[in-house]
Amino acid sequence: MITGQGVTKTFKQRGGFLPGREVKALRGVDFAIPKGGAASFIGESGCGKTTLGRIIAGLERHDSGEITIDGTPMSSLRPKQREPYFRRIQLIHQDPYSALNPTRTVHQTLDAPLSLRAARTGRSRAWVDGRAQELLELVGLDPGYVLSRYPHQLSGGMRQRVVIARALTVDPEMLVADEAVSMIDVSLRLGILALLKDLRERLGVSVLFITHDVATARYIGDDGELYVIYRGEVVERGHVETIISGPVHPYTQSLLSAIPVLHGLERPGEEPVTPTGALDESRLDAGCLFARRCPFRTDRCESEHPLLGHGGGTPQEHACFHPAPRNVVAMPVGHS
Amino acid sequence: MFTRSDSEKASASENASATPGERLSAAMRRTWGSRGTRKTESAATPRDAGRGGPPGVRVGDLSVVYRTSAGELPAVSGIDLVLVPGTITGVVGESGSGKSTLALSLLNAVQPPGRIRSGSVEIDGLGDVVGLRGDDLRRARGRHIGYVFQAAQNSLNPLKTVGKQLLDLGRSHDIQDLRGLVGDAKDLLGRMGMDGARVLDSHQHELSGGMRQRVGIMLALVLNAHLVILDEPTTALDMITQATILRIVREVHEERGLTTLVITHDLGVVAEVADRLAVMYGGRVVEQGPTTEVLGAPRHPYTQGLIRAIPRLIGDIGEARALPGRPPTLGTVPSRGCVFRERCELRMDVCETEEPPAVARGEWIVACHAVAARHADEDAATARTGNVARGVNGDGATNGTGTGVGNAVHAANGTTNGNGDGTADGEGEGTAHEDRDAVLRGAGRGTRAHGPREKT
Amino acid sequence: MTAPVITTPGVPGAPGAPAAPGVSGTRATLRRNFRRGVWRVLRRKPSRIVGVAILAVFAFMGIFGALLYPARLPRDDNALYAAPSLAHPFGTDFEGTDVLALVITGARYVLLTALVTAVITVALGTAVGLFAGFRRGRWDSVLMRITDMKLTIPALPLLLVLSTVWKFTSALEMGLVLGLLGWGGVARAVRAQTLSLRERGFIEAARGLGLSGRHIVCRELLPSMAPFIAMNMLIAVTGAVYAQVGLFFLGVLPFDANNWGVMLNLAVFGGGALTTTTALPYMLAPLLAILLLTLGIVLVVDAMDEIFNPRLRED
Repeated sequence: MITGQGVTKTFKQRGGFLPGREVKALRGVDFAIPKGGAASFIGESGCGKTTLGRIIAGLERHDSGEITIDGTPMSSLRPKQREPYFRRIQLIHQDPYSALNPTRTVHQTLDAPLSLRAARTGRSRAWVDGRAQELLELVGLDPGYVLSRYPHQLSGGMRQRVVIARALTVDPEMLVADEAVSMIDVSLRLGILALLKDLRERLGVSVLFITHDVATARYIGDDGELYVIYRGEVVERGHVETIISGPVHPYTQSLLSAIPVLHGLERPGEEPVTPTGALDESRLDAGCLFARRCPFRTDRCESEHPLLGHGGGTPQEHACFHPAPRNVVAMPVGHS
Repeated sequence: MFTRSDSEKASASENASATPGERLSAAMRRTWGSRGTRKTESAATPRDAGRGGPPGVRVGDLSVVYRTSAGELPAVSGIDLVLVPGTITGVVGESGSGKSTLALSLLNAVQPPGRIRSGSVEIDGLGDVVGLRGDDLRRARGRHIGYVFQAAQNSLNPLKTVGKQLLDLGRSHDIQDLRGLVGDAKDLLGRMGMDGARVLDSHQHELSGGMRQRVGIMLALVLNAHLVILDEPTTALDMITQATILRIVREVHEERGLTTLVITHDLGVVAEVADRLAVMYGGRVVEQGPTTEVLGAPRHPYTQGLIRAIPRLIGDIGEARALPGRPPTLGTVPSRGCVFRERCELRMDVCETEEPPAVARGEWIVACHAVAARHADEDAATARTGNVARGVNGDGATNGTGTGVGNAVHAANGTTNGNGDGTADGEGEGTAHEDRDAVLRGAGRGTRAHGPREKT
Repeated sequence: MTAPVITTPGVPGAPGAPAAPGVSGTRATLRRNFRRGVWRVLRRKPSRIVGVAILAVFAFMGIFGALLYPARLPRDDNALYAAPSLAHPFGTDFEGTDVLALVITGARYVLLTALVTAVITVALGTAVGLFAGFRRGRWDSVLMRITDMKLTIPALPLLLVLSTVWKFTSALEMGLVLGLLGWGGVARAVRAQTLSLRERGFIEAARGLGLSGRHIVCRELLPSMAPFIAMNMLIAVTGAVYAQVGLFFLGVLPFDANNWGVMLNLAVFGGGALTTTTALPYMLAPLLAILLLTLGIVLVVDAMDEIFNPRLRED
């Protein structure tokens, strides 16, 4: 179980002699990912979802708030003590081409972390070799073919599987997959998604999926929770299927409306929402952060800041003063 | 110049000795040429031909090879593709499918170690681009053909403002009225929802990804090109920005009367913008046709697999499935037989040895042995059911353009028959073919009733 | 239970592949593959083979050259500054000693110095650069300030001053001094490379997996920089040759031993090679040697990138 309360992060841009500009990447985010569960962070690039993923994976430190892993608050520990906790949370990079060392074979890549573990737990070399094969088979690769290869000799999909196998060497509790399929050929993407789903079911590894595409998030686990993040804030949170079938926040609705419709197979949703203007980077933080782009804004949205809750009696949590489910999702032709 | 009578003469000789692919391309040229060439014939000079309206493009039997240590390997082989004037065509393919090479070929911009080995790229008002060299080619690239580069987000010069780059572009094309050019640019940017003056004053780093993409589109259009090629226009953009860019592409396309080619790996992008869709795999076009019809009932097993592999928001998760195997690379594309057979569930013996012929049913062309065989079976069935079809055919044949289309498909189907198992040929040659053509056209409209193959 | 969705990649030749070999086997295979790859890369361009051949000849000269001749080279008072002939391909010097013999026996000092310089330059530069780039923070600042200071010290004047108190009789001493003067540039460059590499996914992943800093530096970072380091090493060799030959040529250092710089000095200042033709072969012979050595190195440097990059090593 990994939870976070009020996690914030501000990046300071260096401005030479001028005072540095501050960018609020996260403005107090709460989350909870149960053991073996699935969660997805979705939002546009720059919304803070990747930063949050990196904080959860221990690759970056947050400014304030608390992250608790299996009941242990991380702020109570010294950096060295935190390491074993964060080691159980492994990040799967977006780019399988840079995530593997081009000068090392797959065997070498898996051998290093496994040997380290073997040394710590007094296991034998045979265990290391056996485990490497096991893990490759687990991620759907043929060890005989893959072990002696260099990354460039593998396809994008195979590389991403190797990356996942490497993450599994430390028996992680959670995989954080940051846009893990966006650089992989379309015909192979689903294989990776299915693998993550399969690992969840078979090994009980929880999966945190970070993406801008809701449809892929759904394939990791339709039982999982979806966090819609906008400018460092969660604006809607609930079960994947609940949100897809009845999104209430206009930002979520915009995201879902923007998914291309496979005309011929699908017909577009009846009330698509298009945000007005582009991602707003202005530092005016009063009121609703989405107000400037929201087609449904009122005076209240400009002045008052909405908080996450079940306002209006919706099944999911949202941060909108005027929640209204809209039919924005494309439906298969012939589906009623 | 390509004229009607030329094409007829050409096709007559082609039919004698040509390969099925060549005959198909001749047929296609005639089908679409009836619309594409009429404009050029009425135009005063060939130079002005492309300026008035959207040009047509006919890619004929195009092959592009890359020189490697293992010899010359084909990135694109024997592609026949027609861009109908005024339409958006979407080319979909994965890495290694040859889609970007195809796009570069339209500009005759394939860089060494690659070269265009054979084939032609006929663009109305320009002629065969493959033969263009030097200054002619350079001028054609800006004025006739606008190209929005892959990752246009990063193709701007970081040291110069957008306006400076615009002026550079104008000067290199000897534009006298630079003030007018800037005005046009501002109009275009304004049309795409941006503050033109501000954008022209900006450097690349001051613009967001979506804005850079729009600047890329502006630079491609500002010299009044009527053929626009967009290479991966929305890769690396967010969903909402992608939707905006696609809407802009569609609107600008209609307002300015363009012929547009969109190259992408994302079927969704094509589904959103394209009228016609061509699916590429291993350097070949395996299926092409009207977008909604192809997506609604794909015939080629690759297209079917690709559609099935796209995660959707609604419906059973278990229905989606990844294609087994992986896309071929330059080195692993089989040199003979079907390029897709390694991953194909309909694989037959013939796929190992013979390249599947492109079989046309109306505007819908599929290159697959299994599909060809199925069509042949269906044809045999309909031929047996008798004269209903003949009546339909009579109707079609009375109208002028209808005959053209009929002939074209006829020629194409002739080839199918030769390569197929020939079960359809029960009656006398001529009438049997005419019957089939009519039925095929009917079938083309009604394919959705057939539905995609049952999932197993 | 739903069957796990695991796709076995359709790989040509996969079924026939042997089960994963044991670790020792893998290492041996890797080494063999590496050797084959190097050979393949060299064969790709004939110029590389030529370069390797040249370097091999020089290496042979440096190691065994002195053994081919008696400790004191014979003189021939009847043939001072003799013109090139079959017996003396490059003529003789002012004492009637064979110039070719001088070049060959003089190679050891020059090459040994160059090698020592290159090793020290690269080892020190790489270590400092890696450490600064990997640790960042305070270590980085301190090390880089030291590097900057070192870079501002002009090498030649310093050497001139040093030579007044130090005779550099052994090649090792010479190499040590040149090496200590030369590592700054390499350190800066390696640091820059390290900083860019450490942002790469695989370094981040290694840290996330809890792998030791030593593993990350030695196994992940260093191999990625191997072509760069190897190139720097070879280039440092040429630099060192120029530097020491220059010092001897200027006559700054007392010449105890015979070497190319001494030859140049004697040819120019003693034999007047720049004004008369008699001593010309005496001057040209060491110059030719330096030129050939540089050429050999340049031709081989061209292959470094391909040798150390597994992707480029292949066909």
